[in-house]
Parts: sequence; structure tokens; C-alpha cells
Amino acid sequence: MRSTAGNTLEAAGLPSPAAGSALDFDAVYEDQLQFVWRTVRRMGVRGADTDDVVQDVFVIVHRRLAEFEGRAQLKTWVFKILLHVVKHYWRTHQRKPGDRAGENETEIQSLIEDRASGPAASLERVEAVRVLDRLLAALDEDKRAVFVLAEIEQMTAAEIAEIAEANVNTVASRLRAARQEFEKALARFRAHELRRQL
Amino acid sequence: MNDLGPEARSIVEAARGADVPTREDRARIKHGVLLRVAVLGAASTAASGAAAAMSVATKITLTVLTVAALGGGSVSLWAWKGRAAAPPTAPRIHTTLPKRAAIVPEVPAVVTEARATASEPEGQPDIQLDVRRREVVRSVSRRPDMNGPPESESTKAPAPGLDSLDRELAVLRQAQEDLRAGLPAQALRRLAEYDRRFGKGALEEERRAVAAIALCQANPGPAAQAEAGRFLRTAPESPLAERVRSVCEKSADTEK
Repeated sequence: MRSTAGNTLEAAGLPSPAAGSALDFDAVYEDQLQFVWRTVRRMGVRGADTDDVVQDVFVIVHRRLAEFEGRAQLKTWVFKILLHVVKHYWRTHQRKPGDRAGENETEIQSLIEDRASGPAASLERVEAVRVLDRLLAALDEDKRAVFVLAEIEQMTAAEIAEIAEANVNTVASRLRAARQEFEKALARFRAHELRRQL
Repeated sequence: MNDLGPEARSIVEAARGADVPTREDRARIKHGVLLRVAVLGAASTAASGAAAAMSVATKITLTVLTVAALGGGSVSLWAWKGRAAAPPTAPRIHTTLPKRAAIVPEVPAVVTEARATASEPEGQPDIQLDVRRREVVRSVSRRPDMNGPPESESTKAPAPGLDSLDRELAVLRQAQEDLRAGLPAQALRRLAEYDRRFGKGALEEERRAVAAIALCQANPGPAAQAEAGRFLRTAPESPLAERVRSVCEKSADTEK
């Protein structure tokens, strides 16, 4: 499911600033909210803080929209802002994503309560989010960001490199390491589940 | 790049579409964003050119939210980071957003708590903006960088700018935190210091209400009752009037 194509200005139906008209905040918000929301949650922001962090992202988007030149994809530009905000969140909360494993139960309980009636919230999917967050918590912030962008948002290494302001080889290396750590965390998780059942 | 194994892949794929914002999430968060933009940076945003990019609907919403944030300050002071649905007795701010969008994201805790204990009738009293507040809002919306060249007429008293509003909001929030922490005397000192340094501001009424509440909590007695009475006489329509009445009546009962 490639989503980036839908986020170029033309594909999003958004006028290019070069053509003389500025981006419409409403359209940008509608187009990007789901991505921002999902990514903020996958980046280890606590459920109770999701609104605040997502708002922070869009307040900056609102303020800087006129500066967006349309050279990069909109999603890439928004994600740079998002990454900045999330890193600030991590710093101010003095915790890293890897410290959050213990919070997952509350997070997921909230997810179940909030979205159990939603069309997309089958029990399997809710369980998948629970496991995913737990496994993501094993990654450090750089690897987590790369993993989320590559595996969940399905961005290319080149796009991630632009967002992370790193070269493509660094991104590829981080993603490789992130996948390995993710697999190890999954194995540990399964072993733990097995022990609980014995 | 090494790919993920099948189980890891299936987890990622199953999770991908599971966590999506609902319509309420969308409306609530957007409301919070616009409110913060309206209060904290509408003018500078407009100056940067982004205002030109706003849809008419957004401009209207921003204007209404600015009115709400300034005029209905007692409601909106603590509502910048709106996330919770409005409680049943929450005052209502009219906006262009859908009703189920948690229009009043977060009512000040003191107000909510007071209403919970005051066993008052259910309902959502509208907030009536007074003339003075409308002047403030108009003066903000007339900023030359927001709506074209300045108008030649001037209001009788210069309305406070966004900086002074920020300052007042900050003091009120701190005083609110003092009250929550059970430190009414500290809240009073804070408000008195603000008065001494800056005098009256756009949120004078809210400051007087918070001061009356703090006084009733700190030192229930005739002086506190008199202060509360003065506030209720001069601002009977304030959305904080009920809160002042509730706290001060309770403190008077305790005193007896």
C-alpha cells in the first residue's frame, strides 16, 4: 500500500504554490491527519499525549505552510516537522521509546475502548497493534523512526533519507538493524507468551 | 535490505489499518489546533502569508475561536490542549464545528469540579460575551497585518495585545494550578503581584473570579464573602459566577 503517491501536491488535488496559489490548511490537515496520528502513536507517544503532540505538529504546519515550496512531497515535509516534535516530546518526557514497554497495556486498553466500535478494529488488529507497539518499544529512536516509515508508512529509503537528513546507505543500515532487532523482540515476546501459558 | 519474516510482516500489516482517527478525533484535534493558532499566533501567521491560504471556513472558525478564547476566556483558558469530551454541564461555545466534536475540549477543572458538587440542573449555559471583550477581539482582528491597513478610528482605550493576553493567561493558569494544589494563598499572591505590575487586562473578570475563589478557600470569612459578593454583583453573567458562588457558599457553611 503505497501512500506517497497520494501525497504529492497534484495527487492530493492541492494547488502548487509555484502556480500562484497557496496550500489550504484544511486540505493539508484532512490529507495528513491519519498519517500523523498513526505515526505519532507508533513513535511511542503515550495515548493520553497523542492529541497534544498531533496538535503541536499541525500548529507548526499551519504556521509554516506558506514556506512549503512544493519541492518535497507534502508527507515528507510534514514528517520532518513530526519527527522534530516527537523528539522534543521524548526529551521533555525524559524517556526514550525503549522505556515504554510497561505502558503498553494502558495504551492498548485505551485503543480497545476508543475504537472497538470502529469498522477497522477487529480484535486481531487491536492485538496486532498491541504486539507491534511492544516490539517497537525495543528499538532506539532512530531505528524506530526508520522502521515506522519503511514498514508501516512504506516509504522508500530515499524518502526516509530526506526526512532523517541522512544518506541512503545510513538509512538502509538502520533499517536492516531495526528489522533484526524487531525480529529478536518478536522472538522474545513469543517465548514470553509461551512461558506464561505453561 | 533483509526483509521481515512472515510473522513480523503479518503483525505490521494487520496493525497498519487498525489505528485510525475517528471523526471525533479529527474534529477535536483540529479545534485544538485552530484555537491555539487563534490565540497564540493568528496575527503572525497571517503576516507570514498563511492566512491567505486558509479557506473561508477556517477563517470564520478562527474568528469565532478567537472570540471564544478571548471573550469566553474562563472557558477557553484551559482549553488550548483540548482532548476530553465536554462534560454534560459544560458551557457551550458556538463554533462552526460539528456538535459532537468536543467543541469545548476541556472545561477548567475548578468549574467542572464545582458543578459536580453543586448539584445544579443539567444544561449547557451559553456564554454571553460582554462588550468590552468584543472590543478586544475586534482590535485583534483589525491588526493591520491581518486584515489590511489600519483603520483611522481608534477605540477609547487601547485593547491589550496578544502579548499581554499571553501574560494574563499564564498567570491565570498558574493560579489555577495553585488552587488545584491546595495553595490558595500562593494563588492570591500571584494575582496580587500581577495586578501591581500590570493592572487591569482583558481577562480582569476572570482574575477577579479566581481571586475570590482563592480568598474563600484561603480564609473563609466576612472579607472573603464580601469579595465574592462584589464579584457577583459586578459580573453576575460571568461563567465563573456559579463557581464563585459555590465555593464561597461552601466555605461560609464551613465557617459556621
